[in-house]
Amino acid sequence: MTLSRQAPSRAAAKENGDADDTILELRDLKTYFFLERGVVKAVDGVNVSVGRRKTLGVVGESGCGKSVTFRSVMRLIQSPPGKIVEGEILLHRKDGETVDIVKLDPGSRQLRDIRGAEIAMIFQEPMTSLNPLHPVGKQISESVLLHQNLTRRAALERAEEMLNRVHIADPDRRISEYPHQLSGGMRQRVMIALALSCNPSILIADEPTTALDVTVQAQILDLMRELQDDFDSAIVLITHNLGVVSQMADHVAVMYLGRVVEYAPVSEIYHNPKHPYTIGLLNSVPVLGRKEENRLVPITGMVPSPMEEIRGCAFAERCPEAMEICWEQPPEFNEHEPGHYAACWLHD
Amino acid sequence: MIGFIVRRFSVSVAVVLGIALVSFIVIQLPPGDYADGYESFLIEQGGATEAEAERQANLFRKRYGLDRPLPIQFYVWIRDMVTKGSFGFSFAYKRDVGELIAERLPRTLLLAVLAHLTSTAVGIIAGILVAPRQYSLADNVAAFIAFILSALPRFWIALAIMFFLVFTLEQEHVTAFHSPQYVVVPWAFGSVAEARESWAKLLDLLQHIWPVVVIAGLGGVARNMRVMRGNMLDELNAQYVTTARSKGLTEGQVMRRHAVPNALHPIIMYQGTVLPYMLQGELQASIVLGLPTIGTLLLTSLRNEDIYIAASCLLIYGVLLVAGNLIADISLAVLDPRVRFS
Repeated sequence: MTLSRQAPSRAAAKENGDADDTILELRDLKTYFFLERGVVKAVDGVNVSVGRRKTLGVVGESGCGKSVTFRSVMRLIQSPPGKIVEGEILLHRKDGETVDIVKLDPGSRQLRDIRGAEIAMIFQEPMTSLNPLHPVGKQISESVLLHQNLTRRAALERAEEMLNRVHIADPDRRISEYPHQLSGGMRQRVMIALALSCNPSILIADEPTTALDVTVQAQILDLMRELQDDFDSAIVLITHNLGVVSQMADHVAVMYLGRVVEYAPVSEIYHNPKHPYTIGLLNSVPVLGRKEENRLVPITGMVPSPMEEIRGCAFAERCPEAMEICWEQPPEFNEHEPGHYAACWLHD
Repeated sequence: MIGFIVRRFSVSVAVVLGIALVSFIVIQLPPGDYADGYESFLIEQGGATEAEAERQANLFRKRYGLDRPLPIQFYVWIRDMVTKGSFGFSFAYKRDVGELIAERLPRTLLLAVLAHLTSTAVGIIAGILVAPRQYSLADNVAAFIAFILSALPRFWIALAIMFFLVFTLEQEHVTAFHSPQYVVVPWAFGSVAEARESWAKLLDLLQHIWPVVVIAGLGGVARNMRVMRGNMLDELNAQYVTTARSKGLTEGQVMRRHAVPNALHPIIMYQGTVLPYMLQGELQASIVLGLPTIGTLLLTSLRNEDIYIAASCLLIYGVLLVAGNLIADISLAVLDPRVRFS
């Protein structure tokens, strides 16, 4: 997959910063895990927003907090040991009302009404994300029954329609089949059908294609794009695959050690990256047919432990351009060009 | 599904035949037979001469077919069982073994099943309750109690309970199913007076059997609780539980519809092996408390080398084990589509 490929044109057309256009805003979100060994600051001050009907790609290496960030949005962090210690998760509803998800009680009616109906989620492991004991139709209709005032039969019909929408052949037969009778790709389609069955305005996809074959990956991504247009949903695509992001996303947030270090429209990220970490990530992507002298450039060093107290910039010890100040003081997350944010002293 | 049941059932029949053979052989293993005991009884108590006693013993052997080769004895035993429904003759009780067992089997099963239900229900519920509170005070207290209960020998608990009943509660009759005044009362509900009597008899029955149920069930509670807690913890971390939460289900719905049915899986799977475990618990408790169940019958018959009783008891335990496994297989197939379709 080449990175020089033009980003989808709808990304370029997106204006930024308009509040009416934003559906989800995370402000200084901090989710910590209080373990016996110490406090793991998995998410340590994330600022990011998702545009209505847009796709946000969230990239970063394993353990950078990208999954925890959006599981926090669904309040799916197990507590204890996890806890949202600070920040706001603002959901801007269609009717103009704004809810701070952080302030909702975990067992509350309001939160349950958001889960599944307004924000839905699909996961990395299609093999285990469905309950093995129930037919897939029942698992989809369970969600429909919960959020819509329908009869059991109507909910099952809705489930069948959804299976049809995700291009599963013979939906009337598949609806009564069990997860173990379906392939991985089919199960992920079922998960997408389940997630979209109540027409949520945000779909969080946590590495939806990582566990699938490459050919199936492409089909699933195509399907998500197609359904995004049909259902008018915003998508948060969490992945470590920069190729996937370049095809799907309108905006990209690059995360490192619990923080967003760069946020920009997708073309900006690929053509004008500001943060040395982003540049490092882009250089470490293999490109077919690249010449010998431009071999892969890995980022040196290891990610520091999230339990470590870091005074300056978390990336300093791996950064080829680290300056004195980088060790002293953390950089601020500033807008350097319109709509292009980065947390780096090089640009301040 | 029907094919599955038929298949499993025919295998079970073969297994039962095998068990019959093995129990018969095992019973024959100790040296000597009932006639030897009869012989020494005649000499010591009856004042017979050795020659006379031996003649009597041989007559006895001839009469009950004990002089015939083992395979023939086994064949006759099985043949009579299948054709006449007769399990042989008890030398000591001078009665048909089938009758003796038929008298005791319902009570034995009642005790075992009650103990089993208690241990399963209490264990599973406790497991479900403590799992989401892992490492909390309640969890630790429950684990502590469970360990104590499974570590204490059953006969010791039986003695302790008996001591408590007799000396603290001053209950007069502990080694029977009923107090003497209720033994002859019939189970009848024709009139109000009869019903009242029967009700009182039932209460009296419960008063006598609860120690056995508790003793046989307690060890099982501990085991079921630990298994269920472990399963629940596994299932609560499973991805599909997160999926269920992300649909917007309440925590209770997530538990009831998703986590608990999956966590029950291993418990149902070992139900088949639990039945003999319960019978064994019932056996120990009944022997100490002196309740006339199959357990006590087996013990005395083994002492007397009353072979047909002993072999029949073993056979019945075997049949119950096989039946338990069969029931477990079928319930698992009902619960889990993956078993049903493969």
